[in-house]
Amino acid sequence: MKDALVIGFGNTLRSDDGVGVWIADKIADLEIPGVDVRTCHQLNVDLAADIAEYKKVVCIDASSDGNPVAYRQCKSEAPSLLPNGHNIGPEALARMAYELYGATITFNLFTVRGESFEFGHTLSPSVENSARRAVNAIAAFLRQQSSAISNMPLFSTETV
Amino acid sequence: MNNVVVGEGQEMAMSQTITISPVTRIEGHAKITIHLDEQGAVEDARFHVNEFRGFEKFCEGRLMWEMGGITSRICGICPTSHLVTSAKAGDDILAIEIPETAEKLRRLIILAQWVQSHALSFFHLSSPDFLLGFDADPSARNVFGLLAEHKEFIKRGIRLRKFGQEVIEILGGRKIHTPWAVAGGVREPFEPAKKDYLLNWIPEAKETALLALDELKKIHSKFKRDLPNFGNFRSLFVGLVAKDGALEYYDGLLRIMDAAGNTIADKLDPKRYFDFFGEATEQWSYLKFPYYKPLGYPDGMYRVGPLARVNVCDYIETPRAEAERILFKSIAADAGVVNNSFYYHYARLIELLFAVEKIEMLLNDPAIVGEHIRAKAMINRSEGVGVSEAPRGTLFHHYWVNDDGVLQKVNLVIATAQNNLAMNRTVRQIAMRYIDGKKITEGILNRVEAGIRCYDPCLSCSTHAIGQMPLHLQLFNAHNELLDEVAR
Repeated sequence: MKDALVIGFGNTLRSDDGVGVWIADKIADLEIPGVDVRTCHQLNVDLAADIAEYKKVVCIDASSDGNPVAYRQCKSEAPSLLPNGHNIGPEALARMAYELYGATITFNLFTVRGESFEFGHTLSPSVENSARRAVNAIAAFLRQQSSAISNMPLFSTETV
Repeated sequence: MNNVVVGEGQEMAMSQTITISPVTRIEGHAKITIHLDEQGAVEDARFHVNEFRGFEKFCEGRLMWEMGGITSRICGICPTSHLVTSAKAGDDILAIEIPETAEKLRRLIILAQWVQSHALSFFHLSSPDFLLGFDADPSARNVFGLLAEHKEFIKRGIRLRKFGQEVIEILGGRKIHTPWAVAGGVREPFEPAKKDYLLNWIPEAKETALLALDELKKIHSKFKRDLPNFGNFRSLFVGLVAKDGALEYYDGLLRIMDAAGNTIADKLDPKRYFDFFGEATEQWSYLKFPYYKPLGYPDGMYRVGPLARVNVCDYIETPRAEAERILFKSIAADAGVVNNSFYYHYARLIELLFAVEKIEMLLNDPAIVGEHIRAKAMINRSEGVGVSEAPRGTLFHHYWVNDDGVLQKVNLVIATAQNNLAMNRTVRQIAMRYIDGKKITEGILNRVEAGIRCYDPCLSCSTHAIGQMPLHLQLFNAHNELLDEVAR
């Protein structure tokens, strides 16, 4: 199995909605050994086969509410919401990886709260700050320093 | 008038309007309202699009060369169609003929887009309806519900979609929205080393496409009771065909066929689309209602996409898909065309098979690995139109630029909008058949949604014309009296 896959997703034409892609690109620039990075507009079912090849999966998305940066986990074998539409949520994707490919992996979901989802190519200044903190935390997490997450006060942690 | 919302947390009471919101397993946001008369019979039904996106205004003031990168980010499902169509509009503005290799590579990526999109539509969005039935327990009527007995089927669907994605990624790069196709051609040639990798995948892809066709044909008999009222109505059909009448997906000329199979307009230059098609608006939807101008609105209703394409073409150039097309046409009997929208699924799978077969042909074409991939020129025209057949139907990009290539105006006519009238007609027909004014069962709800899913609509790119579309809110009481109204 490969070590870790990072998936940043969102619409980069919709300002802060693209923060997941922004962060994933920064993680890719770090060239962390054993870490593959993908970006996409939205999650889709075929990713279930890809993620089943990894020990650790990190998904990064924008959120419209909650903490500026949030982290939670979900187990691939946990019940999840149904896929709805052409896209699919991280939990449902994890569940599909489990059901179809027997992947018992922990999904690590990072979200950064956006401020503007209007048309635009750039992040809001405060969101970019949050995104930079998220890059550091995710990089530490990928380097096996998961305590870096729980020690950061800006993060809410929740295990699903 | 009382409003009753059925859908997420369904409820039903004495009502004159039934709202189903949101429509599941289609892209974007939409709702359907069903309007009953005093006797509780269905009077009308509407498919509303509530998500508003103003991409065209957003594009104005940008450079023409940016459009591939921008428009391909409109949609997460068919970015490649927007990318190539945008590049074709750019070709027109440059007044340029692109190299043979570039055209073949663009054709290859469009077909790969068909594969991934059609596979997703059939295996993961519509197959729960087909394999589990419209009356199945809603908690199980989804892709998870299929996993118990149809795991291999779903996995095959994922592999097939992945094949399409892989072709796209090999050509265009990892990032789905990369501006690989550009005005004048494409940026990167095809790596010969990747050819065998993709060719080795073809037998499996073909087998899966054929398996899907076999499954679907078995399923048709299961839905005999539903078929007469499942988007079964007369309309026009519009699609591109090659000069010799073959199914076309990248270039070609427009053909318009009526419900009896008569070609009423042929060899139309798609760059003159505005001469043939008008766009009407309704206060209750952000999505426009394109129509065929000579017949007016709404009589000029037409359908695009797989059903239309397979209906209007004379033949399909690949052998197995052509054999299926002939079988498909036998459904029409004397009518000449298949008028039932339920058969969009069948036509979609024929196209899926064609796309796999044609990808194989293109991969074996020596020109596909040519190195002349881009022609260059200055701005030579002030406007340009690009057209292609996206998975859901004919896609038009129309740009107006100044001498520096800065966009002055943009018009995108997308497939889902062109099917808007037909989707509304489908919903109304299903509602009239199944709604009795007393209650809505899951089976009815499923059928209405499945009727929409025939068209596999993708709404994330289908709303436009910021500042021109009306926003209209109405508030009714139980006696159908208008209490308040906001329009802007």
